[in-house]
Amino acid sequence: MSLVLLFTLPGLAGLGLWLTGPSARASRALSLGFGSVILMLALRLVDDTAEGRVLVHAFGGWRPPFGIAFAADRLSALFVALHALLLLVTLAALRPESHGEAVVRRAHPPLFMLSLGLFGGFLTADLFDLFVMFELVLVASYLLLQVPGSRRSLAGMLPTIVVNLLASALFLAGLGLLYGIGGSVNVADLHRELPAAPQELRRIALGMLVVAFATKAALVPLCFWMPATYPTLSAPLSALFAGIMTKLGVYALLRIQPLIALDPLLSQGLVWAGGASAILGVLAALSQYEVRRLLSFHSVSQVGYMVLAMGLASPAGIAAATFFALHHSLVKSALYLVADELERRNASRDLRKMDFRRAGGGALVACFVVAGFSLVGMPPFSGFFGKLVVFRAAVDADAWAGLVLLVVASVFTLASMLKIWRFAFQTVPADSLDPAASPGRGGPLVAMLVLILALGFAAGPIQEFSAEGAEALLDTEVYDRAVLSAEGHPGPASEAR
Amino acid sequence: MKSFLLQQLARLILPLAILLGLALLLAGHDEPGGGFVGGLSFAVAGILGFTAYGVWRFHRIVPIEPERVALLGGMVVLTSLLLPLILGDAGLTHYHGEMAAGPLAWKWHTALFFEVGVVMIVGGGFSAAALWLWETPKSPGEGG
Repeated sequence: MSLVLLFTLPGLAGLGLWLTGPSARASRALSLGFGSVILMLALRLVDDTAEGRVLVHAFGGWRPPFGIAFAADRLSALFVALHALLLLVTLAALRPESHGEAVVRRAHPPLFMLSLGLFGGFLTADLFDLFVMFELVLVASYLLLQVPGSRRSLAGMLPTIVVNLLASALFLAGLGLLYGIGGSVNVADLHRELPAAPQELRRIALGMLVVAFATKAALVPLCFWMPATYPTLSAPLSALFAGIMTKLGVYALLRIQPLIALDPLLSQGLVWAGGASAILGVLAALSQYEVRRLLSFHSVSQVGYMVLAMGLASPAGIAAATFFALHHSLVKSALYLVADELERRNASRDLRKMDFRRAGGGALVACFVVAGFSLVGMPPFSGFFGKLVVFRAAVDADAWAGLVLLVVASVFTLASMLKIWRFAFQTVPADSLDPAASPGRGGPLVAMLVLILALGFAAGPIQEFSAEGAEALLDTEVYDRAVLSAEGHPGPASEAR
Repeated sequence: MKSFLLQQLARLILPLAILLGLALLLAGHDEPGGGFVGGLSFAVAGILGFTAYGVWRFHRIVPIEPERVALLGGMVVLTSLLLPLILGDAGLTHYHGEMAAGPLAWKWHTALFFEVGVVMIVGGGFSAAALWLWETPKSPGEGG
């Protein structure tokens, strides 16, 4: 029930807002209302799954291997709640006064469509359905990305569209192959069928899926569409994109971990791709002078941590990847919001033209310091606990080379944060004209700040939650039983026609 | 772009495309066909309509924006997902049966409601997308 509502409510909200086209102010109020209800539903889902229960909804009353089912375990619930949180913050940060009425009105409906696709992706137990949700998310993001008549947005969109379409095609092809060897696209059914499948075919099919998901997650060497795209969005939207879009790929990789674990070669590949991403992403970030471009190369690096951790194929690694994904989403969104404020107050995207006198004080500096330190991995912020569990999982799995790569990447992360700090908060460029800071609002920044601190202080319980979720994910027993024994018709074959 | 040939062809094809769309929609639930292909057929009719007769006349004859048709279709689909929940069944559950009124008898299926939504999404959506491309103003600095 709540699964269906989580999926349909954003859809109805988005369509309704688009159809009625209320004024920017009314649209914002309505969106915030819908966003709050969605967040409450999401939090209830976390509560419902906390004991290890798997909620299943079989659509049309068709039992899962035949019909499509939504299933929510702890992993799904965490990602759903994460997106619901980020959606609400984004809606609050998107204000008609600072971003223009037209932008705000245009953004609301696709934002809800995006949420529908993301929730569907996090909740579905069917890989073909996951493909459909990927496409829905893509359509919504095209709608969000395009700013009519702007060269820059077109230039940013083209690589995204081309790369994502190619990844989708690869996903679909891999899925067809998987269906051919496993006879199903239902995740629970595949858990049972794939271990008996021929190894080479299984490796190829899963490999195609992994490459497709890694493209969506922006892993080296498939990442170059992302830094070209996100900086073209209006900023609160790019905060949401940076926070959650790559996470759909990460989530999909996590969801098929029990299948990937059948093949040590694929897991090993994930470890190396993750390590390479972590180090190359941060090196690319260091060389950037546009704040948001710098940050989006950072995402490539951070996704590397998650993928390396899940490549260890241990419950500890999966749990670490999950917690790291939560941490990174919040921190990266916060940093994008900071970047937005900096760019608006300085009227420039370039770090070298930024004047610290215009950065203003208070919320902006505090948010940057907390989010920046958290990204680097200083205690007591969430990043410290995130990196701690990733490193510990790597040590336990004897992945020393990966560990070294991640530690080196962390040092460079510190350097790149110091670069932003030095240019944006410490220096005055030679040709600076007007030091007056234009006033901005710190509300969403403070909200993100509180969330990051909360994640840091609640790291214990949340890590326990994700650790139990990881055990259950790799064990698959409870999930499979819940999905495959869902109420419904026994199947089309035995129904009297 | 006004072309005599295209207009005459459109006179021939338009009604056929609309009829084909309807037939595909109604056949969908127990024979090949359905909302998606039916919707494509309607989209062909829509696109042909404004290509042959011009956007202005298209807007005058068709009383509703294609974009809004697609959005309403989305509402219909999501509603048909939710309605069975009120009856205590799983989302997207469909019901069917037969009805007779005197000499007339026909089979009904609630999937038709869902399919109408799909027709609206596909037909309206594709027409709207084509219309956006058609109507995009070329500002001087952008060059195309």
